[in-house]
Amino acid sequence: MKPKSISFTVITIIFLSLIILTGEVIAAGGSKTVSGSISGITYFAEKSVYTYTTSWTASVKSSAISNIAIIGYTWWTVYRICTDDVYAYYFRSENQSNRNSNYFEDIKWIDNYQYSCNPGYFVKKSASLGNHQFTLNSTHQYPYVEYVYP
Amino acid sequence: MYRKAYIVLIALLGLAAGFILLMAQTSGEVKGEPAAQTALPTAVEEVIQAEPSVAPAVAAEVAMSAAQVREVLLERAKQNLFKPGWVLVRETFTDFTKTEDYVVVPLNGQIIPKNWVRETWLLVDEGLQVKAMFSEKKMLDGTIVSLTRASDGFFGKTLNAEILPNVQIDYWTKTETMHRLIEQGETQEVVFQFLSLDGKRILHVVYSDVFPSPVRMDGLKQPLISFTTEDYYDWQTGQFLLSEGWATLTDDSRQLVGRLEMVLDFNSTPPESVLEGFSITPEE
Repeated sequence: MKPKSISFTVITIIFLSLIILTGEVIAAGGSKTVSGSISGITYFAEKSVYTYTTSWTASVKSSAISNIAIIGYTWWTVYRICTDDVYAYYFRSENQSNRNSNYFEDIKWIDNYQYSCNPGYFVKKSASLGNHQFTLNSTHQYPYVEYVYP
Repeated sequence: MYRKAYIVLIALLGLAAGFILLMAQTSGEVKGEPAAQTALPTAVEEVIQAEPSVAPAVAAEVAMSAAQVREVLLERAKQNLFKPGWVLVRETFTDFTKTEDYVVVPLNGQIIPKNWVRETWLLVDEGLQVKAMFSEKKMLDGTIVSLTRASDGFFGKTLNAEILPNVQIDYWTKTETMHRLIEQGETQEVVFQFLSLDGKRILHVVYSDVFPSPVRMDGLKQPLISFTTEDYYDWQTGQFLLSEGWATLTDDSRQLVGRLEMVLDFNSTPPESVLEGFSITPEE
């Protein structure tokens, strides 16, 4: 075995050990980010869904490389729908933002037992979606971003 | 040269395995509460108060893997959980965050309650197979929020028969989380303990998720940094008893978030309204 392979094995072992010892879980799911520019300032609009052992989270994040007048979202919806087309979870919020800032974030945490599917049915998809808001010098941008898992 | 590399690799693997075992033991001692101080969930405490003869709870580590624990639970559930005839499964979820009681889905008017009771009638045949099911989820004020009906034609008309394989005994053992972790290779730590209650051996299963960053949540005084689910099973019968969800907050305090309780009843028969539902198709 080459020294490179040994190093890789050792690093993998240490990485897995750290995960086990800290209890931190590698969550399934992911995120989607859209970038743009407002008056020359680059911004990022992100939605995510991550599933953990007995719960899951959904988030909305708006960020910019420097402060702008309003940063946030105009609407944000989180839902989980089951294979019988019944919603196990639904949340909607509107017009949340920070002023003169370059960051806004909101996260929802949801317990699997509390918001479960009816007996016999399974989770079809979990989603985080909505329009972000970036405002500077009376210019507004509302990029729509949606992340659906799986 | 290759031989030397192999020896180095084996030595490193040995060291890593030893380190992991040592830390896992230490971690278990820290995370698993000492025997005399093991706290029982409120519902179990109530049982203790009602029955003064009950011995105090004693915790003991379970020297079994998740796969072995699940296998035993399923085997015992198959022997004890169901009997031929009607079985009523009553699940109650209690939310302790004291925020709004429900949300309405604007797209279809569906109500999603925070606190709920779900009553499921299962018709079990001689082979202990579920042949028909009626499940009704209600808010605490009795408002019905969802209803599921299924039969393979053994009783009443055939409807939603395709979901019956999903509601057999395995489903009601509530070992889905354990099953998922086993399928993922048991890379996540799960703590198993035995508790003694009223002469019964209770299996206590603890799952913990640590979040990458604190999560703000309505009803919690501070953001949560980790969430622990504690499931309790009757080890003799394999029956799921209850589950509690605990949030660990940024100040390291713990707050009870929710509790799911499950009770089985073999001595009741469904009301006429439930039985009649099997003789009509959804279109009628």
